[in-house]
Formats: sequence, C-alpha cells, structure tokens
Amino acid sequence: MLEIRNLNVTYKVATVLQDISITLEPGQITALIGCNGSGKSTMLKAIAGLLPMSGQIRLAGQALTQETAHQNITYMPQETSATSSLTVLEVVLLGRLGSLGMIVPKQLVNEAYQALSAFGLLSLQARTLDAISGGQRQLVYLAQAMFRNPRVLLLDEPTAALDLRHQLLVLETMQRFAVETNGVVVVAMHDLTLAAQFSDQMIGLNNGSVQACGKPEHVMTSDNLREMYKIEAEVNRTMLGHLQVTPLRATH
Amino acid sequence: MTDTTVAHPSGAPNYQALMARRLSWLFGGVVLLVISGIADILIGPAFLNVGDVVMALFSPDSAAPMVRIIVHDIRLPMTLMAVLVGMSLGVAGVHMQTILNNPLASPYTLGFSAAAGFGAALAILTGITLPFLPIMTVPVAAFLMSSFAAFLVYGFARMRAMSPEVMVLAGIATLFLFQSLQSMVQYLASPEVLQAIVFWLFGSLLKASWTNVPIVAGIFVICIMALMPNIWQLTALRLGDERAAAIGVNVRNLRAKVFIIVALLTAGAVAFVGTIGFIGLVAPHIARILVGEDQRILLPMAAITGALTMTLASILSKIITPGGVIPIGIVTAVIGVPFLFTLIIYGHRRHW
Repeated sequence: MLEIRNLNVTYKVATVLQDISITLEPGQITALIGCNGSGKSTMLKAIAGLLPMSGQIRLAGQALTQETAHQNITYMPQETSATSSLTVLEVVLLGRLGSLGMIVPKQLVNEAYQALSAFGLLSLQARTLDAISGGQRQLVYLAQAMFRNPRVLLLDEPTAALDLRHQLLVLETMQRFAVETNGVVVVAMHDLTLAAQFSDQMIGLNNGSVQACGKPEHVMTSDNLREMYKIEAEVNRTMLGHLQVTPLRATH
Repeated sequence: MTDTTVAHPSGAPNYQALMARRLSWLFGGVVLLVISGIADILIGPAFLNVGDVVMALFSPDSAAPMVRIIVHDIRLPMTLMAVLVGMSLGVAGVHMQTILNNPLASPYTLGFSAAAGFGAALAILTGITLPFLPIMTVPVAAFLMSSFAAFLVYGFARMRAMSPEVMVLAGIATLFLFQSLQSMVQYLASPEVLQAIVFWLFGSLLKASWTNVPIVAGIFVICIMALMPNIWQLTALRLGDERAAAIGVNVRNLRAKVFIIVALLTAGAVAFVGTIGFIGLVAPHIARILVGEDQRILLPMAAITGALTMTLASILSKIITPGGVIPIGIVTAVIGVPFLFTLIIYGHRRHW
C-alpha cells in the first residue's frame, strides 16, 4: 500500500501540487486524469522522489527515503524523442544501473532479453534508439521499467505515441504486472474511455488539487469533466457495461 | 544459452557478439596505435632504421649511443606526449559531449584551450619565471588560466542547476573573452615575443621531455580512475536527463563532477603542447561511430582514436617539410577531418 499524505510541490513561487492525500492499493491500477498542466507529471515525479516536495509518502507502512524511493519506485517519463545511439538491449540493461559493473553478467543479459520478448521487441534488440519509431521506443522504455522489478510503477502517458494494438499491449502488461507482482500502478492518461476500462481507481486532478478520487464511475462524471477539463461531455455505459466518454464541446 | 540464441530471430547479432565486435575494434585500435607510435619514433630529421629503433626501445644498453639518445631522449618523449595528449583530449571530448548532450561540444568550444593560450601568452609577454622551476612557467600559467576558465563556467552553471544550455553559453562566452585577451597580449607584444606566443599557440610536441610526460600521464590516470565509478551513469545520461534521473542517476552531481575532470584533463594536456583543441571534437565522434555509446568501450576507444590522430598528425608534421617539423596543431585537422567525413558517409551507425 502506498500512502500519500499532504503532498505539496512548489516550483519557485507557484504551488503546483496542493495538499494531496491519497491511498493506493497494491494489485490495483490507478488512473490519473486531468487537463494539461493540472499537475499529473509533477505528482508522479514527486512520488518517485525526483522533485523536492513536502509531505509524507509511505510504502507498506515505511516512510520513503530518496534511496528506498529509487529502489522500489519506477517512474517512466512521457518524453519519447531520442538522439541516442544506444541499442535497445542496452537501454533495457540500464534499468538495473546499480547491478552493472565492468562485466555484465550473462544472467542479467538473458533477463533483459526476456523483458524485451514480453513486448515482442526481440527482433529490435540490436537496433539503436534513434533508428526505431516513437511507439517502439515507448515500448522499449516500458520494458526497461519492467526490468527494474519495481513495487510501484508510475507511468506518464505511456500510450500517447502508440496505435490501438500497442496501447492495449501496454495496458495489458500493466494489468498483468499489478496482478502478478501485487504492485502499485499509477498511470497518467488522456484517453478517458481507455483509462476507465483499465483502472480500478481514478484520481481527477484540477489545478494541482484532487477534484475527485474513487471508482471510475464516480470520478468520470459530466460534472467533474466540466470542472476539470472545461468541456461538455456525455458519459455513458456501452452495451458491455464499459464507461464511455463522448466529448461534445469546449466551454468558455 | 538457448534463450540468447532464440533472442535474435532477425539475424541481428546478440549482445555477446556485439561486445566481441566492439572489443575487436578496440584491439585493432591498440595495434594501429602501436604501429603508428613506432613509425612516429622512426621518422625524423636523423634517419634511423626499424631494427635500431626497436633495439633502442627494448634493450637500450645494446643500442648505439647516438641512436639511444635520439630515440630515448628526443623522440620517445615526443611520441609519448602525442599519445597522452591525444588520449586526454579524446576522453575529455567524449565526456564533454555526454554531459552537455551536445555533439558540437569539446574542450575547445568551452574556452579552456583559449584560456590556456592566454595564460601562456601572458607568461611569455611578461617574462615572469617560477622561482624553482623556470622551465615550467608557461605550462603552469596555461594550466592555471585554463582552470580559471573552467571555474568561471562552472560557477555560472552551478547557479543555474548545472543546465547544459547555460554551460554551453557560458563556455562560448568564455572562449570569446579569452580569445580577445589573447589578441590583446599579441598586439602588445614585441615581434620576437609575438613569434614565441604564436609558436606556442600553434601547438607543438617539441617541448616534450621526461619531466613533463609523467605529469600529463599522472593527470590522465587520476582522471580516468575518478571517472570509472560513474561509467554506467555516463552511459545512462545518453537517455536524457529525465530518464537518467528516473533510473537513479544524480544528474546534477554527475555533471558537476565530470565537468571538473574534463577541465583537468584538458588543462593538463594543453599546458605542455599548446592549443590542440580539434582532437577533442573529432576523436569522440570517430570512436562513437565505431563502438557505440557503452562508455566501458567508448571511453578507451575515444582515448585510442585521440592518440592515433595525434601520432598520425605528428608523423605528417615531420614528413611535410623534410628536415623540419611543422607545429602539430596545424596538421591535426588535416588528419582528422577526412577520417571523420569518411566514417560519417560510409558508417552504418548514426554519429550522434
């Protein structure tokens, strides 16, 4: 269980996150939604210990230090552009930076191959990062994140650059990770329909504060969407019972 | 083992094969360096044959005294200095490019060499000498001024969270500042002093001796040892700051530490031979094209390509004018640029 109490983040003079208190259950996926600039990325980075912040974060009852945060929490940034000519396999290996010495154990290389094969990326292993597509890079970074064996996985818009099949691949992997390792997963997403379909819990951020938190059907309401995104939207259930958002128009 | 064999259905080499290929490039580089090093010792105003040189190198006692003196006291220090300076600038360049995330960065572009030039010019102009080691005056002045330039850039960068953009900007500003100061010193100098300054600025190996070669070697060894614990973190930095931080790299501290090491390597190298900045730009690119971004291989490869470019330039500088030696700084680009262009055009790997 990851407990976050009174999390505040301030950049220079502006308060970016204000008094966030939430509890994230293991084995569950939490979708983080909100408009651009609402604080989603900042919140993920703060939890991962990558930003100066105030407040308490406890993992399984233990207060996190910078070191334990690095060991247990993996944050996957949103940016996917790359100018590096590292190979795909090297990128995955770098996920276990702490275990890499002058000689890389064969066992570790084999595990990296397995991480790649989980995403069907084996055939790309010797390609360089600048020679594959943005979507493929996203999957490589996800393979790297998995290779770290984290207890908490924080993903910043992991499906943004992907086609539908790859979006599902990513989300299914995330689901499998949560169930199989009993890990905590938080994923920032812009596709609300997909977010509702794959999450157990949803957090709606608005201007750095929690607008709503709970089951997707409680968070993803027309009223909340109007507040958070400044849009009129219709929220329905499909015949199979999935929540579906139809954006209608932007309000002023 | 079976799973690694399955691991490349595309026929692409697996990791072990890739590393073996990179190591063979490295080994090939070492062999070439040894050959060009011996060639560099062979070539010079006094004609020596291979047998004599090899004998003078490996069993000095049985060699003719004349040959021994030429090889041991004149040519060997010059060749070793060429190798050490090339290695220092190669490594300094590769890490400058890594920490600044900029393929155009080199110790030269950040003003370290220009500052060294100003320091040397100032020492030559004023005629000040160090109390106990007058011969070291110019190198020490160059070293101190280069360190001061690095300190300036570092100070600005530190105030702005070691941002690469600030470092590049401050570095280029420093370059212009010291170039102006250097021009001023040249303007004020008498013709004889001016000639001495210009000769220093061209860069030359003629001052290499058994006193200064060990100093450059010592600085190089210390810097490499300081870099070793961060070798994988430097590789990780090529993923970008945010991703490197996400896998546990303290990006700001790493950048600060490596910057200081690069400054030291550069100052140590240029203090004794003058402003040879070009190696620091070209050697890292050649190395990266050949062996990729894994710093375990890239670091030694950049050192070797740097040293190889320097020794080849040294050979060229001696054969252009028979009997004379053109300052090496003038010919390094002549050797390096065609080589780099060939690799960019024919290389399979992207150069950045």
